[in-house]
Amino acid sequence: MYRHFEDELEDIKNTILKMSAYVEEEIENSIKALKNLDPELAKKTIEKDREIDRIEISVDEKCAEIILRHHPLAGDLRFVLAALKLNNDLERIADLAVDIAERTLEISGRPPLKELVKIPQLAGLVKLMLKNSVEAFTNRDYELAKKVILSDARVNSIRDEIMAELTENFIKKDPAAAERALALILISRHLERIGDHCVNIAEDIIYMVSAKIVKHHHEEF
Amino acid sequence: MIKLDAKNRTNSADMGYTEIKDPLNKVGNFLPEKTKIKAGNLNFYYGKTHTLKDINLNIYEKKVTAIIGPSGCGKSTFIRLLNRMNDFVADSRAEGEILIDENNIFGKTADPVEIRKRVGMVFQKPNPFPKSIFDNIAYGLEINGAKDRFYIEEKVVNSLKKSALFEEIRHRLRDNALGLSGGQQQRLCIARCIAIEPEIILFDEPCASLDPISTAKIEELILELKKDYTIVIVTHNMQQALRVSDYTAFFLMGELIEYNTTKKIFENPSDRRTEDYITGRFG
Repeated sequence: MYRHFEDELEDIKNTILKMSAYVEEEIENSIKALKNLDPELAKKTIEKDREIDRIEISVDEKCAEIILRHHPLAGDLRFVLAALKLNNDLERIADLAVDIAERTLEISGRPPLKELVKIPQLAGLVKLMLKNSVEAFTNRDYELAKKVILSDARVNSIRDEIMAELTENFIKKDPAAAERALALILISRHLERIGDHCVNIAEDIIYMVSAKIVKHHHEEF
Repeated sequence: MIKLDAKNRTNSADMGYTEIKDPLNKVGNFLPEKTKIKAGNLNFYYGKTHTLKDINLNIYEKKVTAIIGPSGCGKSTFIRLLNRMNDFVADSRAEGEILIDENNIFGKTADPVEIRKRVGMVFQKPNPFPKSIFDNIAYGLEINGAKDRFYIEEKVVNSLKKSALFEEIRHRLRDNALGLSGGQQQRLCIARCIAIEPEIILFDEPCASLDPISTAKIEELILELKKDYTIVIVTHNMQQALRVSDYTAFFLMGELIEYNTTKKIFENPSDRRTEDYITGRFG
């Protein structure tokens, strides 16, 4: 039996996919702006966030209306609950990309501290986590969501390496470099938080697909 | 009339009931439930039509069990068997057994009148007698042998209080029950049922003809009544099943497709057919 309700669920899914494409682009641009110390691209990244905020509100409204009108149950209910949470996590990821752009603006008029190696590596890893999360959402892929959760340990470890290196080589040795080193430490922290939001998304996808709640106890896989 | 097929009747221990190993689906406190009703290898036929097919189901004491399924799936037939209402259906036949507290209600010594005292029923359409509110309740007590006027009055008032109707009609006890609203009439029918002190109450779509306010009152009442009674409710309203029941059984074309906690059934059913039905994809 054809249900108009299916069209509304599909509309939410497509809006989230559109939003996730924007969010991926935001991370991409924020890291590019950092690598090139490009203030124009950093500003563009900050401005683009408004569009993502608008999409977030529209997804919230669509989900609220579906709950109100259709009282979704079972798989439909889990989809709407997951969509609401995903929506929030994607918006937070975009905010973190804005945070990276803001740090870039703070250091963009000054000479680069060092050639960036690990920060782009960390950015590449969290971008892959986001891409995989979105793919897991699209294909209802439990295993891929699990892979995202498991990759978070590597993100944390690179973040720790970046912090240790910047602290030892710059903050402790050269007070003049401390401000720029601190900005890079914060950027590594923002990227690590993006990874955490990808983990949240993956956990919500596991709930959506299997009704299992794995939050706070990943041993439940 | 009911004819029991002795050959098909099996020992309850061998019947492979639908057991729920984790009634609260890991989220919540696990409480082992006491079984009040056991349907074992239950089959029912209207003439040649096989209406219920090998139903194995445990209904738990002082819990609300919802029976859901599309029209004609056998849910009303099933609950009508629980107090032998189908005895009155011509050319019908039941096989298997229904145990209430381990006693087979189809057994040779089972008395249908006694069973109906233990298992009360509330129907879709309120059906008060064309008598006073008071007499609607007193009548059942009197035909069950009560003679003492004080005893009867006390029972009538207590039943009306338990059914959350007393405060609304305390000054109208001698008025004709047919003058009550639909929701009040339904609560009167519940009071009439409670007065006989049953152990189990069957509700067959009790809110189907009621407005949302009366529906809410009946649902609140069901939640209150489950402290003292085992309740089985047939409903087409999924939200109602969610609001009032602890367990849900999904019937389809005479078969029990799935039975579990209500949370599990409505959040993550195991069978595709259950999911299709509750999400409206069915058909």
